Amino acid sequence: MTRVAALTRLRGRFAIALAVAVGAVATVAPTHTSARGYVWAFLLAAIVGELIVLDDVRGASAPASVAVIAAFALLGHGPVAAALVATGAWVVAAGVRTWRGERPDPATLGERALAAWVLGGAAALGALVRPDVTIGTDSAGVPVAAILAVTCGLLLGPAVWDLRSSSAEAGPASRIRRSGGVGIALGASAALVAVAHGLLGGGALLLLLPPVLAVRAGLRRYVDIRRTYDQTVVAMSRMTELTGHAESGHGVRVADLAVQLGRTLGLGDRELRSLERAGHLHELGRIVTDDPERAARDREVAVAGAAIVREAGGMDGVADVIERHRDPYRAVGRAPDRSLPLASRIVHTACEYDRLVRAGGIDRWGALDVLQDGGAHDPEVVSALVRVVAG
Amino acid sequence: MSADRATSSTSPGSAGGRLAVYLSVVFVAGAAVWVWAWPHVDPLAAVAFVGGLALAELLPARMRDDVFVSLGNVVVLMAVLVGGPVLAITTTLGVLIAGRWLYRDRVLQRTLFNAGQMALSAASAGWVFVLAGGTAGAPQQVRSWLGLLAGAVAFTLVNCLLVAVAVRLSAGNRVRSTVADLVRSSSVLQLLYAGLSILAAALLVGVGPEALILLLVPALVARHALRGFQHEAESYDRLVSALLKAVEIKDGYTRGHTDRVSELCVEVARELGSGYEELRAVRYAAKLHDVGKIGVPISVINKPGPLDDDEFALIKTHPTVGADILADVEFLRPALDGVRYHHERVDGNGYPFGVSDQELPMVARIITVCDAFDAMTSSRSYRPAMTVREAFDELRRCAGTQFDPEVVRVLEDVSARLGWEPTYEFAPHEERRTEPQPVRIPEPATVAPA
Repeated sequence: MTRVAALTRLRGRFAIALAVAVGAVATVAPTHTSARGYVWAFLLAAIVGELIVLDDVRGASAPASVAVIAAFALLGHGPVAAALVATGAWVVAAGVRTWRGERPDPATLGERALAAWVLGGAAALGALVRPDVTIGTDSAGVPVAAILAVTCGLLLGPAVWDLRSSSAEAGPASRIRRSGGVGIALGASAALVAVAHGLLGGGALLLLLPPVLAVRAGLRRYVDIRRTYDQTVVAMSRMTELTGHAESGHGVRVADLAVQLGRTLGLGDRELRSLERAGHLHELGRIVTDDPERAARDREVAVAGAAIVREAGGMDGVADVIERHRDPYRAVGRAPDRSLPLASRIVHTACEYDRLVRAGGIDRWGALDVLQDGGAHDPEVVSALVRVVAG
Repeated sequence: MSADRATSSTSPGSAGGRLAVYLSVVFVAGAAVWVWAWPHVDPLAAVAFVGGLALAELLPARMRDDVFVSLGNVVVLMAVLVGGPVLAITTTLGVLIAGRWLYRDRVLQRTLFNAGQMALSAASAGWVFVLAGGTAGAPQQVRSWLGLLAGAVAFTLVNCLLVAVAVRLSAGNRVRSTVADLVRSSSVLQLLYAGLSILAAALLVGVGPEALILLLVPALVARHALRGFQHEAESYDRLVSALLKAVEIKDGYTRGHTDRVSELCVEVARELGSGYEELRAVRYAAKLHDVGKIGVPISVINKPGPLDDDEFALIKTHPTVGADILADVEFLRPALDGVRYHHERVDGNGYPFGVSDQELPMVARIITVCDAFDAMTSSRSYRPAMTVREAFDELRRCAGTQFDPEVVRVLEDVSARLGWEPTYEFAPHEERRTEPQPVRIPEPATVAPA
């Protein structure tokens, strides 16, 4: 784990060094500009674009200004001018944001300026290699611009985002996958503007709006329905709590803890998502096994909850996890149950830990001791829990 | 795009004689403009555009429950810019190809009508473009842009009108309200289509067809996201029904009841002028309005006789508990008060808060009336269902004290329009009390609109 984090940090430093080098070389090289005018148009468009943010379901988020700045860079204005436009646009947009009562994140200024610097440098270097091709007036410029922009959208974004330690858990490959949609769409839009610029002049920037807005609308629908789904899952977990069937906040806490454990144990994004839902819904069965004369046993609750979740369809993985989350890892005198899903073991341990600490009147270390005794819990999950609780 | 509305509405079963005549007339008129355009068109461009439209028609995505997005319109408007009315008309042959051989739509009549109405819409777009001063083959001129905007408006109007008449003949909806509905739901999209088509035509004429790939990339990303949305929206509906099922296990009636109440509430709210987002909130809030019953013991919910004070106190908590459960689901917020106040009365004697007439939000009034109406027109173990007429007599009697008179009046219109009929449920309460289990309920008795 620490090794991976160190690698990622190293990669981030490498990305900065590379970016600075590319920009520096391109600055001293003769600039090859196809369109000196329209700088103001680009700056204005970048300011507007800074306020149009595209969010992807996988957590990537980028403003449309990236496409404007990339187009500006692709037209051969060089790294310094590109970085200046990016900075200027960010500052003005930050002013608008502050006036609106939002708090702009200063780290994004660095990201944007660096990206513009590298793109401007890459375009300038490209012009050195192929001086005969002018993006924006030549039809041969189309593939060049497209390749440049899409590559940058794919590679540069993640490389820059690596600088932020908050998202250092996921590897570069998953980072590229996450930024995929937004990155490719913005890269292609940038190439589009650069190509159309020769035909339409500054008007090309206006035409950036339809594709960007279309992508944004589509992504927003997707993000919204995902959020609605997740909120409803949380509401379902609160349903058992508000009605006194489970302890208040138990579902949310177990889901959070389970995700932390899953991440420590190296689960992927998709598995973490289903783990989170299983955490929220693991007590759902209590609403149907609710019977005053007979205390419902935990395994019955698990099976009943899984049946409800299975009824919903589309969450069969989650139902399987819930169904077996009360099965002991190793029954007395038996070998460990190999067929038990890791996610079930995680939810089991997270649930039991939360109960011990909240209702059992034991402190964290005492709870860990209890979980380590006997064979009900997977030692690997418990040791992950020790690390999470300690760190 | 609007044409897809017709495909969902014009099912073969409802196609009466007048509808069949209308569909044929539209197709024949479309065929006439094809024949007119054919000799003047550049064959190579025609093949490319027809193929492009057929492909675009194959990649539709749902933007909202009632709005489809398809790049077909963009291809037609592009054809207007590149080759004028002649090319635009010829391009719509792609609809025929997509429907007949690629989709393999089994309803020939529907495919023919859609192709015909697209041909007529494209023709009007092309002619208005020329009249407004646009020049074919010059997509970089501002005059062409203005011409195209006028053409796009004509396209939308003709398209919506032709579809609305088909909907009128097959489902009986009023033409004017259908057109207004279609135009309202698609006008922003049409603007987007117009912008995209200008960009695409300029690239095509100025740079070459390879530049269009750059435009296709964002379009595919948007489509991918919309497909994801569609998938997720469907699984969301299943999640809600699973949640309802959990409640239903406690209360044998809720299932069919909540679906019917939800349908009625949406129709009433629509009549009263609610927009899309609000209707969506109302639809789900009406389904979920009794979720709070999960906190009331089974013995109390299913008690056949009158309740004592303690039991009634428990029942009284369910609107508040329901609203608390749903409080963090953001999209439900506009309708959350409908859950919280669905047992309040306009005279202030309801429960749990006894709020006054002024404080009672419209959504709560709607849910209260529809809930009562469906409860009265459904059979219970201890009494048979009332007829629709009897139920409205009762609602009118209590209007002004228990119910909002305006909502009762609107519901009466809605019920007449939908041809509402009482629901008969069979659930011997002995069985339910001992072993709570889902009860098979017949489908809501909504008949096809007259």
